[in-house]
Amino acid sequence: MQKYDIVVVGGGPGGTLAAKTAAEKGMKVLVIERGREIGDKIVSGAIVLPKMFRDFPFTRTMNLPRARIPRTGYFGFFKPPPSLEVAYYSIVSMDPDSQEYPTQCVYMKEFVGFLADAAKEAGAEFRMATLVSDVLRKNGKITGVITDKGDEIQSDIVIAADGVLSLIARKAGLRKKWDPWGVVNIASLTFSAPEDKIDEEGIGGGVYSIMGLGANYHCVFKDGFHIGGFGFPACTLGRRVQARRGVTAEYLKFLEPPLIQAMLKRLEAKPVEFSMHPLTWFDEMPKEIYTDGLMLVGDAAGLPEPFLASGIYEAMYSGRLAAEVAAEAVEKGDTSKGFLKKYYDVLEVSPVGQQFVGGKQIRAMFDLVLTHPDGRKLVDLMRSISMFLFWGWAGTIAPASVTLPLMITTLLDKVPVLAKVAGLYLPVAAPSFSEPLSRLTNELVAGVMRSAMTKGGV
Amino acid sequence: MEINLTLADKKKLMTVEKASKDWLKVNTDLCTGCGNCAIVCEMNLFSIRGGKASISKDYREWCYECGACYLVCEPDAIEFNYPPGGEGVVFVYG
Repeated sequence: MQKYDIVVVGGGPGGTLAAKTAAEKGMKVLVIERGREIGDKIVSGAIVLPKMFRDFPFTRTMNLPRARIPRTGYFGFFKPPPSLEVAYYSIVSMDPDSQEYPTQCVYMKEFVGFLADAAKEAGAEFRMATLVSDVLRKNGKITGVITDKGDEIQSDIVIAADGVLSLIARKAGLRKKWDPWGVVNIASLTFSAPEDKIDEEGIGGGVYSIMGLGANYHCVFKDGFHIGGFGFPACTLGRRVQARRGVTAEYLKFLEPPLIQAMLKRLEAKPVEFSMHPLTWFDEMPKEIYTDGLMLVGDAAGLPEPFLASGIYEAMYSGRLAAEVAAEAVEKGDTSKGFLKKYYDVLEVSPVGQQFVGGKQIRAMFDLVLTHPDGRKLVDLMRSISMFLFWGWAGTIAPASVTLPLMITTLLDKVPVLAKVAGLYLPVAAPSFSEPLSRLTNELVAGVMRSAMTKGGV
Repeated sequence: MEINLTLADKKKLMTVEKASKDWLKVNTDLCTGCGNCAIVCEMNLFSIRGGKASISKDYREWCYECGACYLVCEPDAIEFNYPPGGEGVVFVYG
């Protein structure tokens, strides 16, 4: 019988951060990954934001060979099919040199490879090409895992970082499966393109997302790019089976508008890989994410946030936190559900959990854009919030840090949720940079909050 | 630029280590033949025959392991596990 302090199931961003953290705390850690290599089972198209560099200092030195720092941002909304006209479109040039830690578009294989190397360096062991098929139990408590090769591995704590379909969550009885009304299935194409063509695109190259009713996004690497999308508007699997339509046909519609076609042509783009992957896009943070001897992290815990549905930072944050709680539990000899509740409690008030407050209304904004009389202003606002998330608070974005709260104030009477958006998203981004402007913005945001309270908007 | 994404196109754009054993099945006792799985499977791996869902024989070669079929199955008739370790879909540009 093999015995570890902590077994981590899954070698993605959540699992690797859990392993690194626990190993640094002196724990004996094993990561079990079903792919032959790190990243085999992860779809590309990741955009890592300044807040990751802010909260995970070790990532500031990462130098991924095929990552790209975007210099041009596109933000647009399409009208629903069949029109597919571009309802709103803007380009923002960025000067990443003015950023301390600018946003990067990364291949997950390279990025998670970097995180896994950090975990190995800290002393974590990895077992590859191994599927965990069940959990071990003793007196109702989870005490380890069983692999598909029949190995029984004991551990004081299991951290399940095994993705959105988490087999461990099911085997542990935490849930049967996610509600399909909260899950989107993303179709994506990865294209290869000559590096110099991408460099020429826009100002110094780089494209960011065309968000919008279709929640379509672009992610540009050094030698290619990725376009992902999941349909009109923000179409969950629940909506799909109700309307009886699949995603591929709608995805193809995204590629039809002239501006996309022109971009594909300019870049001499060649499709190299198609993929499908599910993503939770919940408006509330799931509660059933721990039990005796077990914690779920990242996508397994349903943590992608309700605005952009981004989940990498959330996986890393929850993975690290779970490992900290696990190490404390092992040292104290108490791995009960009662003790592990600490993981949930701290996560709930962390930047990850706080993003879910007001999540229902944040999600509703996507539907309001084309129907609300102030839809255009909402688009401006969502664009500004995205810009902050993507590029922080410095450089050419800085003036917007003053206008943004004013925009919110103007819209507050009609869309009260904005007070929550302001209160939740902006301070999350703000501490990245210790600039006078970010402090000023925080004060303005606080002013918006106060004004919202007096009007009964919150 | 013409991009069609027919089934044949998708097959050209994916890499799979064919699983050495079955890992996905429909429990026909529970299946109501509602067809939800067939709607969401972008690789057309499901068909409804005689009021029951059936999985294509070659699903081990063409499945993305996205689990959409399993998520939308109301009577929980789809048993979705995973291919054995080291097998199944590989995202080369992951």
